[in-house]
Amino acid sequence: MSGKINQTSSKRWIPWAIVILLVGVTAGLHYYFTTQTMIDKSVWWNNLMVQIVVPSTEIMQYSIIESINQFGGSETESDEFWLSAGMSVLGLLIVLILAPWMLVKGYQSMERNDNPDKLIPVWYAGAAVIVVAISSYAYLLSALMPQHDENKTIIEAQRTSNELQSIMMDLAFDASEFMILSSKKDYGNAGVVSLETLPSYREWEKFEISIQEQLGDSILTISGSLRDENLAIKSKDSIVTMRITPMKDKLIYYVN
Amino acid sequence: MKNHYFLIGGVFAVLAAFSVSILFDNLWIGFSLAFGVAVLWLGLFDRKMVNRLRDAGNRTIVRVVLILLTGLMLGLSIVHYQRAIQQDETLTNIRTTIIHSISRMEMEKPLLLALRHYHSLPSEEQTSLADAFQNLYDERLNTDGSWMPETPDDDDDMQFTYSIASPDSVVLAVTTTFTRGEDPEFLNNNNQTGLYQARAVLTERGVRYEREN
Repeated sequence: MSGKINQTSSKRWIPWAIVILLVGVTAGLHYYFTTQTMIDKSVWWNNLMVQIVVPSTEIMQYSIIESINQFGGSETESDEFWLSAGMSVLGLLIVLILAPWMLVKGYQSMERNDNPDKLIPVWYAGAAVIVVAISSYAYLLSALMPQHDENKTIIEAQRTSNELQSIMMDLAFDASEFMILSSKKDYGNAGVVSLETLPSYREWEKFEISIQEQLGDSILTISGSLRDENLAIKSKDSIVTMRITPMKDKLIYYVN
Repeated sequence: MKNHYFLIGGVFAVLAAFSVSILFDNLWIGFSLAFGVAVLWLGLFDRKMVNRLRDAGNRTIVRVVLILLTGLMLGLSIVHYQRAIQQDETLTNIRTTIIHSISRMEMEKPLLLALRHYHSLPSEEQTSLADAFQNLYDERLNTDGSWMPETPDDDDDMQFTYSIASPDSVVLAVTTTFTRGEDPEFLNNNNQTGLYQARAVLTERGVRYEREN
């Protein structure tokens, strides 16, 4: 009796092993052929079938295209909306409704059948979709999670760097205004700029800002950098230097 | 046959939930609702079909597979959603930073140059700041109240205007046509909402740049 149970429980896994093997071989062949061509290796897993099985990929891609179009001031075509909507709802239906239904239908047929080794196509179709879906999710999650944290750091670095540029521009305009007004009016020690006297200056935790050079009331160079070394490494513009030339029409400009 | 009706019911329920995305013009809303409906359907499916499988082992396998499937899909969808939001915020931030810098150079700089010009005049020639500004930028002031930027805006995003509030005050203003500002409800001068808007005010005390949205 115990031998029969063990035999049944081991046989239960054979169809799954066949499906996993078939999916694995197909994916392996697909990988082999795509990497032998000019197709980028990083996209080998991103084929149409996976795009349907992973519906959120389609929506994410549509959202990014929409953001890029908005950045350039153009509208996203309605065809793209309908295509993405169609593909993602199809994916949801296949993965969460149809495939489980087919799998259980297959099991019902197996249980009704006297011959347990009989091939039930509906079970294999449902199991194949589920294996592709689960392996795709696991693969994509393992690939995306480390990237996700890295992206967050890069975005924070870019934001901090943008903030620094904006502050530097505030200071440059303030300094320029101070130098223009002080050259004509009696402002005490006319022309000599100290950062503390500029209206937009305050102590910033994130930034180190200093005056690099001042040549009379004609040239002032100020420089700012990020204090956080990790953000500075990730940022493209970790040091911003601006030159203020109140006697020239250029008035202010970035040195770097 | 009953099982087929149950399947068709699930398909229509998911389709109906997803169609909400058309109302809101947002695929993530439809996707979230459709996913929720599909999970509810899977709960009913468990009671109606999985529970009736004779083999307890098969029941366990199906349940483990369904939990893995919905759990991993949910996790991946959250990561994809966060990535889409990150991209949108990054692009919006870059665009706003660019527009903010350009508008300051196009408005604050000429006003400071007008201030410098005003102070460079001998006192007998100093009439008013507005006159100094108009003399210096006559060719950039259009009769319809628009201000011609030094560098043409190829994207047609930035609309500059000028106004002489008083002899001692000049205002340059900018409203964008698609660059978003901070408050999505903000009513812009061009009757659009939520867009970047700023103004620079010149007085004898200097130039004040105010970002309005």
